[in-house]
Amino acid sequence: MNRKFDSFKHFLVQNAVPILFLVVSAFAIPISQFSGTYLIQEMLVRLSRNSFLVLSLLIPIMAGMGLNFGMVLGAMAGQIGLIFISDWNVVGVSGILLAAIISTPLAILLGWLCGAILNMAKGREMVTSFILGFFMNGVYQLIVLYGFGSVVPITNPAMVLSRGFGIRNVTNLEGVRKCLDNLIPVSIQGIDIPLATFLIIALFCLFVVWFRRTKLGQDMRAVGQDMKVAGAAGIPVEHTRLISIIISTVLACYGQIIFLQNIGTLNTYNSHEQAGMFAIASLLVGGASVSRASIFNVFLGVVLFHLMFVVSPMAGKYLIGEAQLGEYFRVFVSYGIISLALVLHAWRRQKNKDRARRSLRGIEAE
Amino acid sequence: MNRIKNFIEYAGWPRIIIGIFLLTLFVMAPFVRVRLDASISDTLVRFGMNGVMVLAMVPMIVSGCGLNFGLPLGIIAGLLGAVTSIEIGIPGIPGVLIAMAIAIPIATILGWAYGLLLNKVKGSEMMIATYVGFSSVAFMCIMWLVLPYRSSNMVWGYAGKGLRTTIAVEGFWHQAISDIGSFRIGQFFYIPTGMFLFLALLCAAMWVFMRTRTGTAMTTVGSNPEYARASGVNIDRMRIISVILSTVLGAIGIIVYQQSFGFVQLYMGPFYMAFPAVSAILIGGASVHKATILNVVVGTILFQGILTMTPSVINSMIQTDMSEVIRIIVSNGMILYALTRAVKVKL
Amino acid sequence: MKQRQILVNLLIFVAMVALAIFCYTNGKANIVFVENIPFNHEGVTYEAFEAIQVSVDDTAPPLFLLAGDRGTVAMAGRNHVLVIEELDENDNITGTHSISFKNREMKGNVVNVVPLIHGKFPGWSYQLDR
Repeated sequence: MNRKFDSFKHFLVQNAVPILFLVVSAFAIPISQFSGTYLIQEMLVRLSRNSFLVLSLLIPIMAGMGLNFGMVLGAMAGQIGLIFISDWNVVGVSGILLAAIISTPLAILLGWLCGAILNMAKGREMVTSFILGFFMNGVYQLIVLYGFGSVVPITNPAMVLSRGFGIRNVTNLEGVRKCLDNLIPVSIQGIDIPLATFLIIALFCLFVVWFRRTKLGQDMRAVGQDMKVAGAAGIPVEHTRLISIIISTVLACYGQIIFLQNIGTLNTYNSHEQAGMFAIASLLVGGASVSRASIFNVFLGVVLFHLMFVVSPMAGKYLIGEAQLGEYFRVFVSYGIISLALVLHAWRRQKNKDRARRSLRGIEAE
Repeated sequence: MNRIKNFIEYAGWPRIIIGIFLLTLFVMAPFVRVRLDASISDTLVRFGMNGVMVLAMVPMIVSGCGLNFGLPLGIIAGLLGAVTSIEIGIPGIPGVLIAMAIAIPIATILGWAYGLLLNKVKGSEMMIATYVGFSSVAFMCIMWLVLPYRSSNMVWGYAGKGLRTTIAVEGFWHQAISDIGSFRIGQFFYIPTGMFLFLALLCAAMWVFMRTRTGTAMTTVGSNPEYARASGVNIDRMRIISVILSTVLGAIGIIVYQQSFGFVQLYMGPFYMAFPAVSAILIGGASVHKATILNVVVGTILFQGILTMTPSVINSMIQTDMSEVIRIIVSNGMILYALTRAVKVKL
Repeated sequence: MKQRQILVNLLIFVAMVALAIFCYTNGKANIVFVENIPFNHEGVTYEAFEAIQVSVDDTAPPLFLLAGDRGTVAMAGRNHVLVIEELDENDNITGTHSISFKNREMKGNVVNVVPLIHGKFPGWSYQLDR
């Protein structure tokens, strides 16, 4: 009996975050007065839109590098590809494919850069990749706001600022809007299902499952467990870490392209900033931690996080009569959830370390 | 030759490059019809405004807690003090003092809790500090809407409640500290003597504190935790004291900033305020584990100098405002440099 | 082993470039003017249609053109299908024509549906001077 209770408690503690979210949503949904069909449709759209971005975080976690805040670099690469195709007016699925092909070498380059820098900052990968994101945001602005239209030729004058160079704040992606989502049109009882996007996401999930079993995947897990041991076993630690970041960056780049084809407009200077934060918050809401994340966490997290995202402004409006409050609430929750997950992880790590030290000193660890 | 080499080694390449860059801007300013006296005055004013917040970085760096990305926590305490002071409505120096008197206890409590938290997460303080700062700002966004402030100078006119995003301190304590003994030379050159004196006072206090028993113990905790443990220093306590100090200085810093700037910025205003302060002290020569008062002064002058000079000079040179981009690249590049340079965290 | 790796990488690279070129030609959209104006061919004058509805490559919505009208449409890809529906006064469809052509056949950015329907007389597509 006691043991059963213990394991139940363990389950609660392990999954505290998703359970908390479920409870909050359970209260907020009736208050918000949204219909079930609307919510299901909205969740399907958001799953197709965001899952790929969130999935791109899995591989660095496997390699023990924590949450890859550097995924915004990939998002930037994807946006540059999209800017080019909307300039050349290449539409439809070919447009998306072309954007992906253009941005792949860029993403590889940025990923390599990110990985190399993170190898110089072992033990503080997260904060470094976080700052790197800000830094590259500056470089991105430099290129897109000053380089495009002056150094890089842009043919479409409608995209360029009136001063003659630099891309406008909003880039229209009308030509590729929802073209992937509507590639295979499926509709069940008035709910549209973006099947093609889901197929790509499924394909990617298979890739992750397969990748874990390859030699490289096994190496990454070993590196994630303990760099010293892995190095002693003859695994090229730095190289493996580099590759994990490159893969993540390239995937984040594709993820951003999928995300933006669904949205249909590109906020040239903001879209990538939000991408990283929301993806990381979603993953953590799904019950993942800094050192352990599964595909299931991704989907659960996207649904729960965005459920709250959709519901909270309306709930705030009906509850307190102020939509702005719900807006701030969800901002607070996204940041709070990341803090909570980071704290829990660091705390656990410190406790383990203390225990190890105590046992080293020969004192019985309780 | 050797001396130059030593100097370069001592100052580090990034600082020298930034210093030369700033010098070039000052030299070029007259040629592109930017008034030099106005620029220098601007730089000095901004140095005074931001100095205290940069100083707030010192205790935490010294005690080994790393860069205080959680500065917004202190800033929030300062904002609460400022807003309450305006609500009470006493103008001039007493108003500022009331703001500080309210802010400091709040900052102490917040800093204490924040310190307890950071003690639980040794080794990843910086990432958590960043997000503690972010979430506290987001939390206060809710609070600014809900808190029962009623002064018509601060709340939204039509609703009669909920604080506005920016609140003017004009008519309360605008430049209250700055104007103590301030003077002007010509039309453009203005020296906020009071603000400098205040900053100097705090710097001196910090300098003295670092040489007290507690101060040296704190430094030992940061530089050599094993030795500190062996000599019976309570590491966790020292770290908490440093975090409290840092948070309180952040609170005072934002009040000094506001009284000079003229506005209280609420909601998402303090969100990114930690970053300029962090990069300023790094530009001044601090590392993730080592910082002095000199680093604060040099760093703030260099960083604020670049922030003041790039918009005006580069703007007149190429008719394009690149200051924002330069600011992002310089400040984050500096933080990145410090993070990658530092030796692995000592455990 | 090393040589094979280089070869494989090269192949991937070439395939990527080929795919990119294919995507570009296949997805590049051009703005095309579609017009419904009288046309003269070898002395015979073909009148414009009273009212027609033109849909290009199944992209909604269709263009509605009265006699003498000109409309714009974005055409992506190399092969196009124009479906032209003739309408009477009550907007009922009286006749449907479906004509396909290639980008290569076009002489410019204007397509006149009148000669196109009557057997692609030369001059059905020409360059419009700006």
